[in-house]
Amino acid sequence: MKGLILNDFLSMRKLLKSILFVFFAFAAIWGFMDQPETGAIIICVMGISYLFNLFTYDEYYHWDQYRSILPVSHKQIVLARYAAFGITSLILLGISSIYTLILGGAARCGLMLLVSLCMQGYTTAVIIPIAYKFGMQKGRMLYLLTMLIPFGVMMGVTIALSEAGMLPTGGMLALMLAALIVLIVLMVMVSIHISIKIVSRKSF
Amino acid sequence: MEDMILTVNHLCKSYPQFSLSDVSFSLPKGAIMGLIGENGAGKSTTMKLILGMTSPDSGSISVFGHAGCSAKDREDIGVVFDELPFAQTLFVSHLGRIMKGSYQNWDQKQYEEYLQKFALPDKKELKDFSRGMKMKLSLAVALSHNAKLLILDEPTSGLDPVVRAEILDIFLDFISDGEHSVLVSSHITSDLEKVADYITFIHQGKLMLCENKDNIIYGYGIAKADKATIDAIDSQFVLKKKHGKYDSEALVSDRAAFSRQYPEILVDPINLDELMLMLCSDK
Repeated sequence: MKGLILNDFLSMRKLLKSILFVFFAFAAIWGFMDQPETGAIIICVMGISYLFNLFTYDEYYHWDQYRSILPVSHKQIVLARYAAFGITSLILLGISSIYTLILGGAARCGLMLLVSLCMQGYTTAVIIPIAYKFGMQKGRMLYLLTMLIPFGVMMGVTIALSEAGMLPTGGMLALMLAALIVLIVLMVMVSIHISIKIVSRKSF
Repeated sequence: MEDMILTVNHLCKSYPQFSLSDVSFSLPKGAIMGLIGENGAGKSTTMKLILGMTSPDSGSISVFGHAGCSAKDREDIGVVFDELPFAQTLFVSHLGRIMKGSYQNWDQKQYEEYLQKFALPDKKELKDFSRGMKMKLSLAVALSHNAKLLILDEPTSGLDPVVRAEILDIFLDFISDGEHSVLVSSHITSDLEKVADYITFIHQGKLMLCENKDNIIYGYGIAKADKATIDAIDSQFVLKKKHGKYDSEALVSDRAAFSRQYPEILVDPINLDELMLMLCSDK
């Protein structure tokens, strides 16, 4: 499984370098506009979206076929991909937290964490089974369609809370975070289960 | 009975436009089997079924003496596809790290020795490798985790004779201890004539022949004569007849016995290309 995760990151390394430039640009623009949390959320969601390319690489280079002859189970194949998404999410959240904390303070950082976690969890849970089932070409379109709903809701809530001056307090934030983490874990667990089923039925 | 490393029994698989029907063969330890057939004959499908990349509709596969091909079995199988299946932005050292994390028996030292032997540089991305280099890299990976069985799909196609000869030598070296085996598909039948112990010929999804190569090369022959003479040959000698515009041919499985019985009929030795053409012929 370690080899599969390593393959994902090494295959993406060139792309990751070019993405860093985009992230710096976003960070600078949103920081200048005094909305670091918005910039950080976009970076977190954009960053995880770049991992969609892994599915394109799988198909294009026939790594999906080769992976199926490695001494790993279907479960390990799927878990490795989720791990790549998970590790990337944590790195993005870490960097974004520091950025938002410095430019916006703890409350805005908390808000950013909530929204970013939610978006990343949703993205990971939705895109992986879709990509395994339909491939990345169709999968990307399907994902964008499903993304409209939570993206709209999240942005609406964020803007509404900001405009009403109702920034969450420490206790409220902790409760929301806990509930959100439970929800994300549940979503990802169901997603993993579905992905394993899809991958184990796959023929080449 | 010889110790079999791979046994395929009555394998069937149907796709909308292609069917593999009732394919059976066995590969003993210490042997090389050449899988031949035209494009789309079912060679790759057979290999994919063996590797568990797709499930058969019926029939069975036994690898290393037990049914199926589990993840643990795949630890002992080295596979080479006709295309390099790795991201082209990787370096060979990256591939070593990936495989080290994938195979328990990965031998990094052996991998580095193969890289050196094949003159594969680590300063080039895989996309800058020639086809020969890519194939050598695939082989280096397949040979560096102490596999007992190599399954190779068209490993020598598009390669020059020098590289092909190098690769064939590696196959012979691989099986030399009598414990390792190779299943290799190829359109370059002259390569298989040099190294294969057994030939399995699949045509339009059906098994046409599975035979010891020496029996084919030294036993089989093509009798050439006019139509009436060919038609008069005892059917026990004849595997296939082909009638052309000017002459006729018969494929015989024992040319020595045939020559004793019919000394007046010319019978030539046969190579694998001619055998394929003869067996595929519908004239």
